[in-house]
Parts: sequence; structure tokens; C-alpha cells
Amino acid sequence: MHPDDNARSSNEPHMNDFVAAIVKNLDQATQQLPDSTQAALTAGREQALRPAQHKHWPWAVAASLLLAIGAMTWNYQPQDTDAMALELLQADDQLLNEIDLLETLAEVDET
Amino acid sequence: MAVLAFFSRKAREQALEQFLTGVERRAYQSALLTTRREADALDIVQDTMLQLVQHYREHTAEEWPKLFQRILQHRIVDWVRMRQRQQGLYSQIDANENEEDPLHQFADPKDINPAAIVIAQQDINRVLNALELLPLRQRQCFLLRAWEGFDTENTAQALGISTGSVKTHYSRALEKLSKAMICPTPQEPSHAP
Repeated sequence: MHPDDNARSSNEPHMNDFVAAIVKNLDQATQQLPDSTQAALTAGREQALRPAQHKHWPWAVAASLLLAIGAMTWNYQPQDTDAMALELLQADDQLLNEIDLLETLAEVDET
Repeated sequence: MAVLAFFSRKAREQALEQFLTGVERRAYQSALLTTRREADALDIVQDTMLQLVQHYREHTAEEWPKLFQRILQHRIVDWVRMRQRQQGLYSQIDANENEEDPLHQFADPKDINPAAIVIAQQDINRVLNALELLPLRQRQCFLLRAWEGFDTENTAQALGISTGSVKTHYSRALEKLSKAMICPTPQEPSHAP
């Protein structure tokens, strides 16, 4: 018990012994808690502390995403549209040539 | 700077964990005296720890005991109010605030030393039952002042009441406890050893 302001208990000499005896019993009861209760208290404490320990994980995830996007952008090479158009035209020419050849062959067969 | 901040944060988290480890058993016992149900007492303690970690972890370590007890006692009162709403009972939290002390009707037990009875009997369950029978405010005042070592001012702040009320509740708690030790009320033990 706090030494100051003992209220009316200080008027009775045996009250301090009485309070000490009660507190001693309370301490003993607290020490005799079953293991399951202590395990539950420990689990609750760890759960309460967990958000504090991992409070910065959203920032870590965001930073990782930004890093990955940056790396992908660094290696990105834009495609040459002119080259693609040229490839398409060449493919078209080749296709037309093959059609002409097939038609010619067909005419030869008929004759 | 970042390294220093990191180690400072780690040290604070370790200190907070040590503090919670030191108070959790007493907090559980304190809650159990009101709830008489292990699961509810565990919920109250865990909720208290969570609130302290989330909102007050940046406070100084010297402030943690007061803040912890303030949250704990409010959680206990919230639990009592919730139970009373569920059961449709009238509030008994402040019921004993203004009532005439019924102990004045009994003979003065000054001649009998209740401490000697407690020490002689070494009956923890009887002490716990006597504490359970106290009205909530009286039990809170007794536990905070006698067990947690709070002074009147800090007890009043933790409970949100005046210092005069703390003195009154504490005095009445002592009287009722001494009477309960001398003339115990028959009751089924709610605490397994």
C-alpha cells in the first residue's frame, strides 16, 4: 500500500498487517495460476505486441513493388514500329508471290 | 540516425514486453475477481495490452503502469455494464457511493485482529471470495491502493473518481474485508486452487 494518505486504516494498528496478509494471499493466488492460463496470457501478450513489431510492413511491400516496377522499366526497350510495318509488308509480298505461283501452277496443270 | 532509431525502437519494444510480462498475472487476477470467468478475464487483459501497445507505446515507461491500470479498470467497468445490460440488472457500480455503511450496524471488530485470522488460516480462496463480494469500486480501490501500490491521487485518476471517493471506498473495503475474515459469508468457492 502506498505510504501516504492511509485514510482511516492508519487509526487501527492491526489494519496494516491485515492488508499485508490479504496482499500476500493475492500474490500467492497469482503465483498459483495454472499453466494453461499463463499460456493464454503469453499468447495474448504476443498478439498485442505483434502489430507494433510489424507496423511498417505496408511500406516494405510498397517499396518492393516500386523497385520491381523500376527494374522492369529500366530493361524495357520500346518496339520499332517502322520495322514491324516493313516486316508485315514483306510478309504480304511473300504471300502474294506464293499465291501467284500457285495460280500459275494451276494454269499449267489445266493446259 | 536510422540505425539509432531502429535500436531505440527495439529497446522500447523489449521494455514494453517486459512491462506487460510483469503485470499480466496481477491484471488477470484483478479482472477475474470481477468477472469470475477465466475467458472474460483473459479477454479484458488482452484488450488492455492491445490498447496500451497501440495508443501509448510511445509514452515513457514510467507512465505505463498508470495508463495500463486506467485502461484495465475501464475495461472491467465496461464488462460489468455490458453484463448488467445483458442481465437487465440495475447498476451497482455507484450504488454504494451514498448508501449508509451497513457495517456501522455491527459490533466494532477492533478487539479481533483480522490479520491474525488471515495469516492463521492461509486460506487463499476465502480471501479471494471476500474480495469478490466487495462492490466493484471498493474492490478496485483496494486492489489499486493495496496491491498495485498506487496513491490516492493515481487511484482516483485511474478510476475517474474523486480522491475523496477513493478514500471512502478504500476504507469501506477494509471494513468489509475484515468483517468477511472474521465472519465469513457462506459461499461456494469460485476459485479452484
